[in-house]
Parts: sequence; structure tokens; C-alpha cells
Amino acid sequence: MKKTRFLQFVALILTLVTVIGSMGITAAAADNSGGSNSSSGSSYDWGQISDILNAVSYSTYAKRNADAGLQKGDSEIVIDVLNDFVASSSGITNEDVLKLDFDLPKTTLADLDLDRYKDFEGADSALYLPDYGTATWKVEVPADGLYGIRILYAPVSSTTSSIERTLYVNGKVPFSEARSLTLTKSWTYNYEYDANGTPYIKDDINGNDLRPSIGLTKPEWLTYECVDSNGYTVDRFEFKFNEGTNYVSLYASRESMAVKAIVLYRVENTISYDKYIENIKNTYGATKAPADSVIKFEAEYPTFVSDTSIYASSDRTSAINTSNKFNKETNTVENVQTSPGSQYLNTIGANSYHTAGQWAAYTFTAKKTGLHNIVMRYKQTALEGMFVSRVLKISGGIYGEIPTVPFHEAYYTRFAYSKDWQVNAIGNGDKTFEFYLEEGKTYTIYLEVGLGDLSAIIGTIESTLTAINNAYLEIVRLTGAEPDEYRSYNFTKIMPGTIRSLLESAKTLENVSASIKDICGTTGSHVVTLDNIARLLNTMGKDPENQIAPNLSSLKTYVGTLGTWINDSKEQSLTVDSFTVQSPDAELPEADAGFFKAAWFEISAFFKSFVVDYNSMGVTDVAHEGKTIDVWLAYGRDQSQIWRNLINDNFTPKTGIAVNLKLVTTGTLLPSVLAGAGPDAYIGLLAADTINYAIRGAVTSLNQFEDVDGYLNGEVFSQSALVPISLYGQLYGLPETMAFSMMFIREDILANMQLNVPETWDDLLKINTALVAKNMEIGIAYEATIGQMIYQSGASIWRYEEEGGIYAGSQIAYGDDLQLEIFNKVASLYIDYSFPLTFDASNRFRTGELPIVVGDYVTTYNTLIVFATEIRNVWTFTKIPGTMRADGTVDHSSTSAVTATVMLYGSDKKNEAWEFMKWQSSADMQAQYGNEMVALIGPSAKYATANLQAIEKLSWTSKELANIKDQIAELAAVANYPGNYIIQRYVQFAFMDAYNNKTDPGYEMKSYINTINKEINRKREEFGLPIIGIGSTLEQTLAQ
Amino acid sequence: MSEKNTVKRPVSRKDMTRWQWTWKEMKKNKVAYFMIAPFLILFLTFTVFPVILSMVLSLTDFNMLQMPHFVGVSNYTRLFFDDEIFIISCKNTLIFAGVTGPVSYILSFLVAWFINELPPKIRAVVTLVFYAPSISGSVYIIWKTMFSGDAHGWINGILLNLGIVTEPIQFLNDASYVMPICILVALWTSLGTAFLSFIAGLQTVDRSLYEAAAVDGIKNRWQEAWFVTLPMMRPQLMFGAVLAITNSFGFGAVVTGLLGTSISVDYAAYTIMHHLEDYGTTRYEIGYSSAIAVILFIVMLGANSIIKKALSKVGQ
Repeated sequence: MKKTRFLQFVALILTLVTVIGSMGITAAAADNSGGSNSSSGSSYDWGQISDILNAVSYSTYAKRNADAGLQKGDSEIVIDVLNDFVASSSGITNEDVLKLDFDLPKTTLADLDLDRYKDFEGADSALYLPDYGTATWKVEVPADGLYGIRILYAPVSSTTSSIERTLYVNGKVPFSEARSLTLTKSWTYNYEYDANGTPYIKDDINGNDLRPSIGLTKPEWLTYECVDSNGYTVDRFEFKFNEGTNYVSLYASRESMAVKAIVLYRVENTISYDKYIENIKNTYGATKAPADSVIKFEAEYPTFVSDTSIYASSDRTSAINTSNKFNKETNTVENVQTSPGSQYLNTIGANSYHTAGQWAAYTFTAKKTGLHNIVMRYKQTALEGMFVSRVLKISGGIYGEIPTVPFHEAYYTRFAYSKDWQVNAIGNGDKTFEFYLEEGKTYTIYLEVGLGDLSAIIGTIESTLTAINNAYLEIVRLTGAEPDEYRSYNFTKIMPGTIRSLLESAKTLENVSASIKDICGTTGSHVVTLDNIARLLNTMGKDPENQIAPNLSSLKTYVGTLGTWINDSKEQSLTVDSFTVQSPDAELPEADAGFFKAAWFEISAFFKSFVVDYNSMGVTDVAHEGKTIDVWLAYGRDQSQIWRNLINDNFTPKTGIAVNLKLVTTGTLLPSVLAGAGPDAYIGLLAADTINYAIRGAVTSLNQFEDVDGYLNGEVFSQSALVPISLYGQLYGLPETMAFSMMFIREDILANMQLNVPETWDDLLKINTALVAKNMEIGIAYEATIGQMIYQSGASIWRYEEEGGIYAGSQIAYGDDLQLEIFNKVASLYIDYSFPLTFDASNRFRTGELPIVVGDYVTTYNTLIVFATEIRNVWTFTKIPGTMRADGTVDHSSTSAVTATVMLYGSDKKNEAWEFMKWQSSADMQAQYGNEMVALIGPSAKYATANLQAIEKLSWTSKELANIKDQIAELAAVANYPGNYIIQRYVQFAFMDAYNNKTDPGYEMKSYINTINKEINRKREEFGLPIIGIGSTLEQTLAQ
Repeated sequence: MSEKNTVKRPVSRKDMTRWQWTWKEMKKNKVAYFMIAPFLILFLTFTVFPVILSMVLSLTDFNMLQMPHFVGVSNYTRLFFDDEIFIISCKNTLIFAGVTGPVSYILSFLVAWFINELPPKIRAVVTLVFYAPSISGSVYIIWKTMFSGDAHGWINGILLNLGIVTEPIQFLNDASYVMPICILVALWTSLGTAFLSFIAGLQTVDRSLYEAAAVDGIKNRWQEAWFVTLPMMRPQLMFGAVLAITNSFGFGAVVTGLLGTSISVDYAAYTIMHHLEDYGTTRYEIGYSSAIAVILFIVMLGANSIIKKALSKVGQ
């Protein structure tokens, strides 16, 4: 590895001298040029990855700078994005970074909606940054100092994810938080307005509100000041710059954007609330506003939001939730209360307005000059016994154009837990805040999700967790996951640093636990967990020889619990009905309905529930009423609810077709078809079942529709999604999900051991040797591996697929030489190389026992993201190992599991059902569904859509997306021919026989070939398909 | 009314056909029939009718989705002459039934008998302990963790730690272990309803009978059990036996639960029940699986009558 080090050194010199920065993880940028050329020449550079993984935290960075006596920079330095831009060979090239030139053909900038920017002021002096690669600028700094970085940017693509960048200063990520800076987009809902300019939402024929559409706010330059996107540090970041030429680079992890300016500025400390009031009084002579100064607005009508997941929702837990409703008789908007019968969208937030950095903004014009309270009617049921927090920023009037917190305490507002609705003026628990507003001036308040009092605490716990985790890994590398209690490992000698870090972590956790008790006033379960871990760490640290071994596994359990707690506490959910900007002297609005009113509401809602037709929700046109199709799906309630909403908002209003969406249990479809009571369409049928139903005439072929061809060309769906649900030229459904295997790797472990990501199965074997020496293994499943290797070799598990026509799939190919060789090879991995046969992949990946695991990309990702929070950021996933082709390139083909949306044969509304299927599988809907799932359930609800265009709009990072797309480009299409169920059974028999009895795998497999073919023939005869006799070939059969 | 002219004579059984007589009796006892109606209707619809239906279906090629065709007895001929797997499953079922049936039956009785000697309060607790595995549904899957092929599985973990093996044994994926493990788990869960009814039966035996038997010259506890206890609880014994037979012939759920699939390696623990499921669900061949069900039904009926005869010998 010496050579690599040397190269890095040279590269570093070059960076500084020739300004050709070798910054960023160049691997990810080289998305199509690199690829798979050399044998083990993976494009990963472990040195840089471990640099990034080991970057110090901001607090350490800031402390270092303070210790070095660095002062805040005095001047404001504006980087001219066009002229100071530094082209670099390893970053993105000039061709990628284009001036925002609106005469460019659209094809150059894939999803840049150029028309939008025609009249965009300042656009001609801006730079377009694509969603990949690193962009670097040089900046002259007059003197050493600390500067904040401000970016003037505009989102240019209307996908729902936020922009994410990694920031490098002089070729280095200065601290770990700079790895992912989130620049939010600004979205605006398309409301209707009455003559007075009051917004309202359109409704359907039954008076149910229809969720308004959303779009990017009309182009405007947004300001971003570098802060911690996790919310652990509330203050704006200060970066160290040296006198002379410095370089600032942005590496794109997510989304493209336009940049107008990058500014280094002096970060002033935010003043305290008392100081703020004092200033206001001295400068403006402000007093309380007159008692009649009350402006009420409905929270569900934000002027801007940062995320499309922040939307109006219907809440019927209180009779006095209010919303705007258009009265057709008076032609004005009225403020109405919750309806017992119809669904009014009357609140905002609920479960999808909870991640640090998300905001909703409200613009209003002040009625009177003076000090005002902001009074909110809200409900907080998310964090029991604790607070939810919102950072309150204001722009306009004396506050200037850039939204900033007016005083420090605005970072720490508190919304206490209660099962009931509450009405309170915004404050921090000690006092309520008053804001100075001037009559006639327009202000915008931003309510940004923050962690409030918990911010520093969660940050500390998280970094302590990382420290504990690293210590754990160190120990496991020495002892294995189940250390021998009676062996002397000599920990103190071998790893004194690790032991010290255990004790330090214990100390930190004790302090944190004390401060949580201070803030919350209670001792919740998480505090107990903290105390327990601290005690355990102390025990282990003070007597390593005797205590580490027996306590290792309980430490792991506690760490997991704590990881989960961090995740939960970061979800700052708050439901808001309305708020008022009012004089401190004005009366507070009502918190909830009185007893009689509430009781009457509940009673009338109960009786209304008998007459309300929930299926026709969203029908806007009376003429189309009555055209109702039945659609079933067998997922969870959340999934069904999201589809219900999407149908109400997007499908029924557009097509006039009402949908009766039913949530059923899997297995309901078969009896219902039998009874002739099946639905028109069914969402989520397994590919094998689709074929089973189709071949028995229960599912309709889609080839009868003329426009089906648009789905077959591989643009919308991959062949590997279409083939499993097609049979002999007929397509029996539209793919809904497509899950395939990818390889998950622990970057920290591999970087530490200087191992490359395996390109081929042979590389994997080499790595295995290194891993086994450190008590680690590789987790792959033999069934999947056999299939993958067969397809990677260009072969198939079926015979006569290409030339056979109707004979395709009439024999199994496992008995052929190539397949047998592969079978032998895979078996030898387990028999000769002792790969584990049975293992809990996510658990052992988490503990580091299996640093390489091949598994279904979405399921594994979803599990790890919530289950293994303590290893967040240190793992990644990429293409599975491949097989070398004759020409030296590597085939990484993976196999996929598909579910489909199908149309039942018995349906008498086939055209309507087809409309629905097309709509349901469209890129927009799939993306919206996937994103709403994530918004509703959290990051563990990533959705494996089969729609290739939709995958790009889901919330994967650029790097993840690039890897996923790489794998999608290499997917095998495995057909489901009649009798396919028998194959896996006998492959398992053959494999297990060989494994258990140490016999020849190929021989075992061969002994089952005839049995398999016999069963396939029997099935084919059942369906009237021609067969090839046992022991015969296609040629012989055709000759007869 | 002209009662004077007609000779009133009681209607005799001989005056009418058998059906008429039955009808008359039914009308006479209509209240009783009315009372039994709810159960009878349910029983006919959900028990008798499906049995008859499956007999009919076993003569067709019904596939769950399309109109069935009559195929005669071809399902049966295939079952007996062209289905090796069925023969394997018969063998396995017989082994299961032969081992778990009698063993669990005897075990139930012995345990019940011992527990019966305990003081009431302790008896209640011990009864619960023994009965718990069978009321807790699929709790037997904890055996899955125990016999897991993972190096962290309990038994494998212990064996590896002790250095007895160097690689985890695939207990549930190895033809030579699967069957014994399934039998073991089946026995563990088998102290079910039969066991409870034995305990109840033991308590209903009249104490005075033991005294009388002692006077008549009973010498030991075995004789007491054989000549007094067992004959007195013959109904419970019958009940337990019927349950034991149905359970052991319908055995399969435990295997499926443990293995996660009904297909054990090399069909090592593959029973008739699995065969039936395999054809009914995976292969959509309801006609064929009905034929299997009918055979299973007949076998159970036969086993029942044998047990009945055997039980009548108790105490003689």
C-alpha cells in the first residue's frame, strides 16, 4: 500500500501547487468513465475514505481553532462563482459545470427546467452545478481567521429531495459535520384565492378538501449559511482560512443546483433575548402593541415549505380545528371548524414535519407597530415527557432579508408534551418571546425543526456512541464476538487507547445523563440506559482483563438501545392548527372545544360515518360518478392510506374514475377469484403468483391494450422486472416493486484493513482469507449466489430460452456443464472455505462480524438504517461481486424479486382498471408514494419501486443512486415457467446433501435433474404445453 | 268431528314406513331438534359438507381457479402408483404417528397420574407448567433458536465453545437430524387437551371404589390403576386417544414452524399433511390434494376403530 500513499502525497502537492484538487471521493464522480476494467482495481480509495470517516467533530475543530487563538475574520469576501471557479481534472470538468445559459438545448442539462429561469434575475452570472462531482473555487483571504460560509443558491430540479453537498476547505473536509450540508429547496402550494386574496383549498362534490398541488417557488435566490444539518450545533459554522489563496469545494451528494455567490462572512454571536428587548426599546422606543392587533393565520397555508412532505392534513381530534373554506354563495372564504362528515385539511405537520432543518414559512403584514407574541395552537404527542422544538427565524422589517434568529433563545423554543391541544405563546419555558413589528411592513416567520435543548446532548451522545463502537470493534477484532471469559487477552497492553476511550465515554455519558435530568426534570428510560452504559463502561475500563469479556454482549445491546433513542428523539413531530401574531395584551384563543360541543361533534361524526361514501372521495365531477373500480392491496395500513390519498388527490379528479381501495390480507385473492368476487386490479402480487394465476386464466394479459408497448422497451421497467411476469410473449401485469441483491460493506473495517471492495468472486475469496484471520466472515446466501453466478456467466437456469419458442423453459439447465461447475464452486465456498450457511445478516453486519454481506438492497438498507444507527455513515452498498468475462470485463448481474399490479380476468371495467394501473405505476406516482412512505414512516421505509424513472426521484443520495443504477444496468431476467417451484427445492436438497455429507455437489445436483424435468413436464401437460421427453433434447423432439 | 265413528287405536310402528316413522318421531321431539339445530347446521356446513365435497373434488382436476373436470379415479391411481413422494410422506407419517402418538398418549397419562397425587395448589401450578407449551400457540419456534444452524444458535454455540464441533451443524437442514428433532418438539407440545382431560378424569374417580378394591384384594398401585382408575376414566381415555390419533396423523405444523417451510431436506420430515399442502397451495392441484385428504380421513377412521377396540380391553 506504500505506493498508494506515495501517490496521495504527490496528489496533495499537486493540489496545492497546480490547483488541480484531488478532492472529494472521486470514485463516485467517475460514474461512467471508471467502472470495471482492472481485476482488483476497485475505484475506492480507502485512505481518503478513512480520512473522511475519521474527520474530527465540529466541537473539536472549533476548540482547536480557539486554542490556536484564531480570531473572527473582519471582512466579507465574495467569491465570484464564474471567475474564481477552478477547473479540475479529478473534479467535474468544464463541460459539466455550465454557466446558466438559457439558450442551451434541454438535453445538455438533464432535468433543468430552463423555461422557469427565463426572467430569473441574476441567473446569467450564476453557475449550474450538476448532481455529481466536485466544484472548486479559489478565494483570497487577507488574514488568517474564522469565517462563516454563505451560499446564494437556487434549486433547479423539481425532485423532492433536498440538495446535499460535502464541503472541502483546501482539499479537506474540515470536520465531520461538513460531510453533509443540506440546502433546502423552497416549495409553494398552488392555492385558490378569493376576491380578498384569502387562500383556500378546492374540494370535491362531497365537500372533502383536495390536497393542493405543489411546485418549486418561483425562482429566487435562497441564502444558506453553513450550519449542522443534524441540528446538533445550533450556531453557524466557522471555518478556518489562512492568509492568501484558499480553496473551497463542494462535492455533490444529492441534487443539482445553481450557485450565484459564495460569501465568506464574519459570524456575529447572536444576542440574548434580554439584550434584544433592550436594543428594541432603546432604538425604537417600542412598547406592547395595542390589544386589537391580532393577525390569525391557518398553519396549513404556509407561504413556503422546505419539503413536499410538509403538507396540510386532516385532523378530527378536536371539534374546533379551523380551516379556510370557500363559500360559493357569498364568494368569499370563511373560517370554518372541523366537519363531522367531510374531511377538511385543517392542520399541518402531523408525522412528516419532524426532521431537523425542515421548515415552513408564513408571510404576513403587521397591523400595528409594537411588541407582539406569536401564539400557536398545537398538539405534541411525539416525545413523552419532553419537548419538541422549532427554531424561530424572521425576515423582513428590522430583521433584514436573510431569515435569522432574532436572539439566541429562539433556537430553544419548547412545545411541551400533552395529549390535548394546547394554546401558548412561543417561548422557551421560562418566558414567552415578544417580537417587534412595524405597521404595514411585511414579515416572514420561519418555523424550522431544531433539536432545541437536546441538540448538544444528542450530538454528544452520538459521538460517544461512535467512540464506544470503535472501541467495541477493536475488542472484537482481538477476541471475536463471543470472547472466552477464562482467557487472558492482555487488553491493557494491546489496546491502552481503547481502554482509555471506554473510561472517557463513561465520564461523558454520566455528564449527559445529569444534564438531561436537569432539562426534562424526569428520569426516563433513556437516562437509565445512559447510566447503565456508563456503569458498564466503567467496570470494563477499570478491570479490563476480568470484565471486558463477560460484558461485551450486553454493551452491544445497550448501544443499540441508545441508537434507537437518538433516532426517536430526533423526530420532532408537531401538529399545528393555526397561529396568531397578537399583542401580549390580547386574549389567548381557545385551546379546545367545551365538553358539550366536543360530545356533539363526536356523536354527529359517528352518525355521519354511516352515510359518508369514502370511495368517491376526490370525485370532483358529478358526471363521472358511478364508474367505480375495485382495487385491492395486501400491504399495511400506512401504504393503503397513502395510496388512498394519492388516488383522491391525483387519480379520481383527473379521470373521474372512483376507486374502491381495499386493504386485504395476502391469500384473499385466490378464494375471491374462485367465488367470482375478485377486484378489478390487485397491487403487489408476487411474480410467481402472477404467472400461476395467468396460466390458469385468472389474470388478464395486458397485450390487449394498444399502449402497452410503451412499457416493454426497457425505459420504464427493466427487463428483469418484465420477464418474471411475462409468459410466452404475453405480459400479465405492470411491475410494482423490484428488489435485487447488492453488496453491503463496512467501509470502516475494510478501510482499516486496507482491503479493496471485491470486484469478482475470486476477489471475495482473497478478502475472506484476510477477514478470517481477524475473526470475521462474509455473509452470502448460496441459493442467490448460484443464480447470480449462472446469469453472470451469460447462461440461464432454463434451457431453450432463446430458440425454444413455446418450448422455452421446458427443461432445467442445472445439469449442464457450466451450471454444474458453478454449483460446485458455490458449494466449495461453504464446504472448503467455511462461509457461514445460516446467519443473521443485519445483526452481524452491525457488530462487524460480517463486514461484507450480500442482500436485498432495500430490505437490508431499511433494516440497517434504523436498526444499526450506531454504524450510520460507515457502511455503503455497491454492485455484487461479478464474474470475469472472456474479454476481461466483469459481469455483475444480480437477480431480482418482482411484485406486480395485475388486472383480474373477471373484471368488467378493464379500460378503467388499465387507466388505474398506468397511473399507479407511473414515475410520478411511484416517486410520490415512495417519498411519502419515507416521510410517514421514516428512513426505514425506502421503497423498491420497479419504475426506473421513479428511482431517481426517491430520496437516495447521488452516490447510493449511482450504485443502484449501476446494479440495475446489470440485472438478470429470470423467467417463471410452469413448474418453477420445484427447482429451488431440489437445488436445496442437492446442496444440503453435499454440505452435510461432504459428497460431490455436482453429482448430487445431477441426480435430481430428471426428477425436476419430470415435474416440469407434468405441469406443462396440465396446461397443454408441448413437452420434451426425459433425456431427450429440443432437436430430437422437433425432429419427431 | 266424528270421533264416535272412528275407532281410536294407537298408531303402531308397523303401520308406516321407516321414513314416516322417523318424521313422526321428529315432529314429536321438535323442541329437541330445534335446540340442536344451531350446532347441527354449523356442523353439517363446516364439517360434514367439506368432507363430502373433498370426496367429490378428489375425482376431479380442480385447480382453484377454473371449472373442474371429472377425471375418475386417476388421482388415486397416481397417488398410489406414480408418486414416490407420497410413499415417503406415508412412511414419515407412520413413523411420527407410531412414535409420537403412543408416547405422547402414555406420557400424558403418566404425567397426569403423577400430578394427581400432588396437593391441589401445587397441582395447579405444575399442570400449567406442563400444559403451557400447547396453549401458547407456536411457542415451539424457540426450538428454532436452539437448533439454529447459525454459529450463534444455542446448541451450536455450546458445541463450538466446548470444541466438540468446528463448524455449526445444520440441525434443521440435515436429513439425519430433522426427524428426531421434530419428534422431540412434537412430544414437548403434545401434553395438550388430552392431558387436561386425564387430570379431570382422575379426579372424578370415586374414592370409595379404591377402598372397595382394597377390600377385594388389590395388591399395589399398578393393579389399582389397571382395575379401578383406568376403567373408570374410559371416556377420557377414548377422548385422549382420538385426539392423539388426529394429531399424529395430521402432524405437520410443528415441522413447518421449525423449518420455516414444509419441505424438509430430502423430504426427511415430510408428512402426508405436507404433501396435501404442497399440492393444494404451491401446485394449485386441489383435486389431487383432496384425494390425499380422503386417504388420510380413511386412515384416521381405521385407526380410531382399532383404538376403540383396544380400549375396550382396559381393565380386563
